[in-house]
Amino acid sequence: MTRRYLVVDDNIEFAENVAEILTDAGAEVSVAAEGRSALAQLRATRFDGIVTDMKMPGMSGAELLRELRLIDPGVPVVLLSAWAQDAQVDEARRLGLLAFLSKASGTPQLIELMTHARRDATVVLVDDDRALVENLTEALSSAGFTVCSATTVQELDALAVQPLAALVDIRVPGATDGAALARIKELFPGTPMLVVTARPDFEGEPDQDVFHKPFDTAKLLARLQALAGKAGAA
Amino acid sequence: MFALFQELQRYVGFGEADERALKALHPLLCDSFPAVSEVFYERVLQHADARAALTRGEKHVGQLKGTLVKWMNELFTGPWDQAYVERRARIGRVHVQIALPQHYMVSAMNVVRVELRERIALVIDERSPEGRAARDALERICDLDLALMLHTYREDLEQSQARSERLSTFGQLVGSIGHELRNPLGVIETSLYVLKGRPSTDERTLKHLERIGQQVVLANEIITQLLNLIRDRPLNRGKVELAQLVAEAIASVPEGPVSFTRPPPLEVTGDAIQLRQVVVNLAQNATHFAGPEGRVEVCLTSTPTEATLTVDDSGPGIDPSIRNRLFEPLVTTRPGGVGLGLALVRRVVERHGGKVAATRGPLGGARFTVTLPLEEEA
Repeated sequence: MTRRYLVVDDNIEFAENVAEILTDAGAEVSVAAEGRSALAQLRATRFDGIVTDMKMPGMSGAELLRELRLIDPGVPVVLLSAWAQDAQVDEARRLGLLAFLSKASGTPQLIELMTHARRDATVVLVDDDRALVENLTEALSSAGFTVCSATTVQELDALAVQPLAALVDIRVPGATDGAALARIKELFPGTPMLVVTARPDFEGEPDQDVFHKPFDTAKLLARLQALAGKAGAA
Repeated sequence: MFALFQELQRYVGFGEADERALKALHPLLCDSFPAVSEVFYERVLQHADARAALTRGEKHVGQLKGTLVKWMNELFTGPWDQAYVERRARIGRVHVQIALPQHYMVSAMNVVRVELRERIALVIDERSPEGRAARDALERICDLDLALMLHTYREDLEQSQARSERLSTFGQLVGSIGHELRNPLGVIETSLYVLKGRPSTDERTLKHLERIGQQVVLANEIITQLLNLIRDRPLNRGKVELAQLVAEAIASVPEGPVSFTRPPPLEVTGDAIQLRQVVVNLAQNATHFAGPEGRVEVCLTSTPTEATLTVDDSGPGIDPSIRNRLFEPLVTTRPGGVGLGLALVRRVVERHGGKVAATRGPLGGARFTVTLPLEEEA
């Protein structure tokens, strides 16, 4: 089936270029120059992926993301920005991103990401190890998963979508062991739990998959892909 | 600067007669210079501020005393030429660098002046014509020296104030320019992607498409560097093996032969990516200034407490006009250079608790020395 994408950027030449490239790759692509019209299109159409700029007049990319999660919680979103220090990027990460890319840093990567993006495949990632989070995010993105990342239990409250799975460190700062797991269970009962831990003796509950650090990322991805396959079939 | 000196000479009436008088005084006085130097530092170090500023530097007071003796020798023997003026000017500059207030120079000069005056009175009859000439010559040359020091002091202070203003607006400017430039670059890059996907066999078309692509990457890198410079990217600390890091960084610098004898593994705690950038930037500068025929030598050594990296080149050495501002952003003598490499080097090194310095090197060009503490965890 033809995939449908939406590209949002006030720099209309850029939006049109990205649209042209995705169209060449066989997709159907709509363009919006600002957040409001993007949201209007989202209400009317179910997209397989969205590319949006961060800095736009009126509604920023992060604000658009917050609004669009209410309309279509499961759509993969790639956020583009000129600069990774935007304070809003962290908020956007909590709301769930397929990827965050720097503008002008590589069209092939963008196309690759969009082509493999999965709908309704959000993985919640809770860990305070920044390097591990970055590596996992990259691995998950390239396998098509949207990542909602949180470093504390409180940040989980931003979660707006039933996740496909939760990938949680048993120990996060400022909370008792397992508090993040409990919170996710409370917010979205039945979410499959993949527990990562640095404690070699940790065995986990029967309904949890335990991955001891350092773990094999490929194995973790395979597990998630199996879950995604099951969800797709259901 | 020399023109200023000549003008001042005319103003205070310093002439050949004074030069002769000073030269005649030298053999009579030079034995007492070390004693004058002792008195001078004894007096100067009574001031808490001066003591703090002087002993903060790397030099010991013993060394400083030696420098003062040399200064007095020059005062009496000349030649009072361009090089003399530059050496005197440096004293003013050092005062700005170590943040010693201007009035210290005036009172310090007075200490020397009074001491020398008294010693002259001991060797020549002050009322004789030679005595008066000697006394006048001393006053004039002291006035001249002081004027030169104060002049450079003011000049450097003004410059450093202008610089700090430039730097604060620099940050804001860079942030917004970086943003705004990435937008058109994004359009160019995507357009290029489309064009490259269109079948073409025209060699020149392909060559120029390739060239546009390379330049987009380059422009993008410059923006990244600028943005990195103004943002405080947290150090991603980990165990870093320096010997390997240096070897790999050097291997990635395409121009010219860089010689590096790899020492045994040397572990520090730090951000591998940022430290690598330090080595790459230094090596790139060195190969650039050494030129294709030149030499670059990189050396990594260690003591129990610190690791030291030196990068020497056989190039022309550091341009005196930017010596004092070498590590500041937007300062460069490289054609086409933006002036960010060394600024980034200093920034990264300092955030690792280390130091970087530029001096004249054994290969005739520049030497950059980076020291990093080894016992981060202790």
